[in-house]
Amino acid sequence: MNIHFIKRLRNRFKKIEKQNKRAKAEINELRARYDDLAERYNELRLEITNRFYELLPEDKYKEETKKRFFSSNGFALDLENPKTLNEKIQWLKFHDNIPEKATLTDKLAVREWVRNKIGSEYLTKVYGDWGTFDEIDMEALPKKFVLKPNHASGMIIIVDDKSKLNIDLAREKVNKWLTTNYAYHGLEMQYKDIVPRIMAEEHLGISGQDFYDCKFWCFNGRVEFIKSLIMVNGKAFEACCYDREWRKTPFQAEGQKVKPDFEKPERLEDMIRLAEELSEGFKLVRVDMYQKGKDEIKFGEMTFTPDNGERRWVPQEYDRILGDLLVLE
Amino acid sequence: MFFVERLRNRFKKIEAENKKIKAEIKELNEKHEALLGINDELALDMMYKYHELLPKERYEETMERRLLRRIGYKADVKEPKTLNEKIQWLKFNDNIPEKARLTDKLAVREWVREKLGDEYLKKIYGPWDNFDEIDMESLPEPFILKPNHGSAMTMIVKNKNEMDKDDARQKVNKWLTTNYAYNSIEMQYKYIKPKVFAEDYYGDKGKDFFEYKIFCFNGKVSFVSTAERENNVATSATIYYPDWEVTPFKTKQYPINPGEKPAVLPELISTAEILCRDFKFVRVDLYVMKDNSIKFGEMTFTPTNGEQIWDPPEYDRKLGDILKI
Repeated sequence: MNIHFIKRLRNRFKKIEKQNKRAKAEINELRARYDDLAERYNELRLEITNRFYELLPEDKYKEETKKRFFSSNGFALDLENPKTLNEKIQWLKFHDNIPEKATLTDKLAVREWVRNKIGSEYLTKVYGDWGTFDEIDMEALPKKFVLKPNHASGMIIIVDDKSKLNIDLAREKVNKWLTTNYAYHGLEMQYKDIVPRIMAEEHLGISGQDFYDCKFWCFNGRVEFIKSLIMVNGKAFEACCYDREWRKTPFQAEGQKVKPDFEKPERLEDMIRLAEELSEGFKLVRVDMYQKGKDEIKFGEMTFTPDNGERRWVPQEYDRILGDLLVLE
Repeated sequence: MFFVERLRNRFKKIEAENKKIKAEIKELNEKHEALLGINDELALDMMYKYHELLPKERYEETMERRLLRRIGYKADVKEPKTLNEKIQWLKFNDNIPEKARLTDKLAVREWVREKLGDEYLKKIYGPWDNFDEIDMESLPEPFILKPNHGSAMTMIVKNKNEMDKDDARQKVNKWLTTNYAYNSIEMQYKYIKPKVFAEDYYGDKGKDFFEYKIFCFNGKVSFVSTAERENNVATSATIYYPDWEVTPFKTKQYPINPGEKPAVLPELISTAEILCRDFKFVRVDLYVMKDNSIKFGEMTFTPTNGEQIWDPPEYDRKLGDILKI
């Protein structure tokens, strides 16, 4: 009797275990679907903003910028008398939007300028640029590369293995990028007249492992601080701000996980020198550089409205302290 | 024995837990479906608003952007070459008032009556200006409600008494306050005065009656498309030449599944050619009913809004070459 009983129990147990396994698989699938949904929702929100700004008359830009500023920074933007760093970034948008910034914001056009300024050895390899996804010469591309447009920020497809790329998804994504005017993402008008192209660029490896990603905040031609970060899927995953001597600064950017122990890049001094050369003549620019391996330096991009001046600084008084370092006139 | 008792309790607990998880999964799935629906609805509402506010002079550029997003090539609406481009060109350069009249599902009936005769028209009930005006008494059972001024809006009512009136009112009145022109910039819909009307419900399309979408280029039938359906959702779409030979191209969306030639094919072709005569391009939809009679469906001047992905893709250009504008 006991044996039968135990057998029955065992079978029941097996059945339950199976159910449990199935439930777990279903939950995992649900999680993935929810992530997908969240992404779609996010895309929709961005698309709505984009369309709204596209139709917004230019004389309303200041008003809209003030609205955005209040909701991101939590205090009223004073465009007449900007004091904090984030306020000054907004001021620069309206009073210092020189055509050169548009050229240097274009990830393709900026390369020519960098070549002339500091030399072609600092440029990443670009395998080509095209007007639509279907024009991309996939055959000619190496196994690993990254796809990004020249006219926007935060858009990237990292291709670790060309043969595993989902072409239909990639086409949809890329063609959507190419028909999006990034200026209307958050009223950063230096992006407006860039002719959109899709470019295939060299794959630098794993962020924080094969290369260091450093963003040099240059105020009036001088590197004031450096933000080092690890990117995962085009988004900052962990970040930390350092001073020129690679000491952790007393302020950090909000909303990014702080990882305090980034190693000092071997070629920090050289990168600072190059960033300052590139930033010469600009009141404010963030120069992004990579150190590939232990000794190679690569230019990333020039950003004239870093984080669109909408990322808070913690503690918040540093927004003002940093603002005081930036001289506008 | 205590041990066994304990085990049994543990099993029961796990079983209960499993049941709970299952219920939760079901609930989450439903929530997910609902959220997807809301997302799509918001996206559509946004596009309506955007197109409504968009200045006219930017329509062409906007259609070019849509074509790149949907089909994947840089379209040139001003110098059209592909069929999709030419449909766009016709939208903006050949939008004669006649097209607006024939797009109106009610006004078109008068014209069809003149061209073909009363027997080609389905019986209708109404029309009415809003939901509460609908004379429910006069309606057969089952019936189908649709507006005269848009596409893809229908409601099948099998039983009047079981109909959720509040839900139906909301739906119908939303149709009637929607200007379908701004769904995707199809301006022939713009000035149609919205009304709702009812038809007899003839059962399932593709089973109880058949729909033929007849593509007419320069006054001649070029090809005919017909779909198979399951639970009223298309599962395949096959395109035929007028002699019922399957075309070397299809839509990317659906597989093909060639079927039998309709008994009244010559009549379908000649009927479509009477209707398409005066237009450079139009899709004439005709129905073949159970008794093999032919009924008029609709005239569509911008099928799929000129955003069809043809397979193989080069047929977009090849079909465009046939259409003279």
